[in-house]
Amino acid sequence: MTMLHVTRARKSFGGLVAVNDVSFDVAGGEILGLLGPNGSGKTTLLNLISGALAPTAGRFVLNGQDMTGQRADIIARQGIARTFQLVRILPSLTLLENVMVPAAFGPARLWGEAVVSVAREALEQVGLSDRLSATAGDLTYLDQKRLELARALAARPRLLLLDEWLAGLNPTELRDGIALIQSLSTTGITIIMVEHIMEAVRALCPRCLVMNSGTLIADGPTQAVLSDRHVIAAYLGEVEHA
Amino acid sequence: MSRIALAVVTVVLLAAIPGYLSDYSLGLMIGLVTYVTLASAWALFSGHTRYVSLATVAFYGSGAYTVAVLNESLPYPLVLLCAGLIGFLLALIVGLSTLRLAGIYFVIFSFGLAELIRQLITWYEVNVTGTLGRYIFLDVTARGIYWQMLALAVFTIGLSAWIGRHRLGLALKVIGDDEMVAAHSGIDLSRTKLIAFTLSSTIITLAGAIASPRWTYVEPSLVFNPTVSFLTVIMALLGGANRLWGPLMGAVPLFLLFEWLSVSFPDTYPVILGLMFIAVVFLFPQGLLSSAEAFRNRLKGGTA
Amino acid sequence: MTTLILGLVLGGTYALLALGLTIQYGIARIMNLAYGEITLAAAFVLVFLFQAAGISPLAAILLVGPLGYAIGWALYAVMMRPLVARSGGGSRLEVDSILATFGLLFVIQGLLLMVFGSNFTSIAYLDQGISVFGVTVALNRLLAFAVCVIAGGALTLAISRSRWGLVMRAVALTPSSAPLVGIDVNRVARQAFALGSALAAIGGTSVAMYQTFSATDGVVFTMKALVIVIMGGVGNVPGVLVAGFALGLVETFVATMIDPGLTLAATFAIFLGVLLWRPQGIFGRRA
Repeated sequence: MTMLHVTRARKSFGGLVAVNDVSFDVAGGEILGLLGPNGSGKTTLLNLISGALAPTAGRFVLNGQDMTGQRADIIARQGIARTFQLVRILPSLTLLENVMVPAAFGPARLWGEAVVSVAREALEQVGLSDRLSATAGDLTYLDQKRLELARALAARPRLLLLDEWLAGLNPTELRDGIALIQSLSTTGITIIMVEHIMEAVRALCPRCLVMNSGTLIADGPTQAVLSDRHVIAAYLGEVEHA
Repeated sequence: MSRIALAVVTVVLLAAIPGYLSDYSLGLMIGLVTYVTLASAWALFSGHTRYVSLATVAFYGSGAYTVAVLNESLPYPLVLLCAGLIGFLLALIVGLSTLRLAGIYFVIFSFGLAELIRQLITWYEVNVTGTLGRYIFLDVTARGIYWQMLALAVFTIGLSAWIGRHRLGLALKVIGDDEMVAAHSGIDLSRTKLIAFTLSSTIITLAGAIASPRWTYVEPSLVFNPTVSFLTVIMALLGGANRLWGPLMGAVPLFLLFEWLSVSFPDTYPVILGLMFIAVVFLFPQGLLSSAEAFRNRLKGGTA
Repeated sequence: MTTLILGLVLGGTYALLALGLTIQYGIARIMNLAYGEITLAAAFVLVFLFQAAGISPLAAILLVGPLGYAIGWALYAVMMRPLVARSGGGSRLEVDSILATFGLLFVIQGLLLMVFGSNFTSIAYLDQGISVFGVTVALNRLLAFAVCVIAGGALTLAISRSRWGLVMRAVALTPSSAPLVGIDVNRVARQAFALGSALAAIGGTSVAMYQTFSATDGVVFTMKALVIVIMGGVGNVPGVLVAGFALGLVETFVATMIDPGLTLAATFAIFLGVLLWRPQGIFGRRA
């Protein structure tokens, strides 16, 4: 069953076309990798899906509902949650409050006991449940990343967008991170992840999209896509040593 | 529970004191409670969202002027109702045109708003009604004003406490931290800001309306005095605008200090005010309550 | 026709004032709410020099302009720089600078009231009329206009053509990456803030030459300059110049055709229009 249906999505900034008529479908429960060199339009595409940017043209349909050009908060309430390339936590709030936010304002709109228990659960999933009342601004970089993921999970999203969530982790942390996302996949959640770390992509994503200067140049099973010569050309050989 | 009991006892005591006060002291108490109300109402919106409103006196003055215009034609409760309504509509106009944009547009709009309203009323009075300056004849006593203002202050702080425990409060905090995250978590930014801003502004307008009989004679340049906006902001900032009791903690000492300064140094008073304002911005960016808390934590950390 | 010429003269002053403000906000990242107070202070100084010392306003400009620069330089170094450092490049600077300059506004206004009083002030200087395109215009207005055109024009050229202007524009665009190419952002910001203050001061001298003003008018000048900056698009120099003249024309039109008491209302009406239809500025590019 198709969860997200993107048709000829386009975004231009002045003369620069950042996303150039990209079309693809995502099935429910799928974990989809979104690859491409820097500046190829991956984050812009995520921004279009999450409503951070309005598309210049194209259509976005989530579970049969047209969301093209909707505001970010409306899209979030439809069940799309995300993390940001440069981690964005709410520094003056506690960890618990941070994670309560999407549970309170997202699709479920919970409050009272329910919102606290969902938030606790999400913090537990990422291993932060021992510091509920710490201030988010005091966390280390890795813990901020965990917190951001917990926040996205607390929305109980149907579609989760991860923007280089694994970037900047050391090898041990990376292994933990991959295991964490793997454990999510068993819950039936749908994920689109922008990622440069090929080890993670191979481990997590059965299918990949590759973008280059705004255009979708490959879409298929990860192994096949990664050996495609257009893809290799786009990366100029960067693929293998990542 | 004991906190609520303490608050109730305090309010009862405050309500009982007019009987023991001279006229001068009662006047002082009215001013004090007025500024507690203004600073708390200001912080209700600006404290968490960090959308700095410089328009306090635009609303306060509108409330006072509404009473001046209507006091002889409508019964007092209806006059108050009208004042509240006018404040609400004014806030709606300001909010709808600026709050869906970046904060800076809101600040700029609020910065000139009082002067705009003052000039518009002056123009209207001179050209249409032909009377600049109006009298307020109401049989509201000083005690009556005090009790009404006290009730409004209690209501404002109570409302802030209630909001702080509900969705709206959380949404406002999130907006103050990061609007992008707020939107992606499902918070309707414009609506949230608009609700808080109209609540805050309506209360400020009512405060102006309640305080107005103290003036007897009202004209635009008198009721739209920019010092009111200025004092409100510095009081809320000093105490801590994102704390429930912060504005009150700032308003009480500063009001008394300013009263003394304005009597002792009438000429240099505005300069002193300005310098103090800058000092507060530099020294207590998070307000006294937060600074005190940080200090206490440091002490604890030192002994542990 | 009279309206047109008077409007252009007023617009020249406004364009110059807005230019200074947009430099302070666009390059130094300081939203300066005390801007109009600097303008007024300069106007009062000019009046004082003219009346007490008999110094010609044109000569006074040569004194007041650099003085404005020096004061702006000092204000930035003492007041703004610590705020910039404290914010660490974050969004806190905007709120902090708004609050700090709001306090500064009261300090300067208080000083002006103490020294010069609250009366309306004006000077009689070169107020004989001369004919321009068949319209009689006071010489002082033309002179004020010439001052604004020269100061504004020179600066616009410097920003768009010189190496110094390139550095300024680089900092305006991306303050975070300017250091990578060897630009001292702190120095550039201080220069920009000082320059903005100098323009505020020169604008003030042109105000003093042909307008009546009082110590509490600062808010109105700041407000008009802010609206022009937003109309033109923040950081857009040609846009600001055009918007400045446009506001001068609209205001003169409203003052002569409707009522002089409604000029601020006209400014707000334009502001409201810009906010509702093109918040990025009439000449700004859509993000």
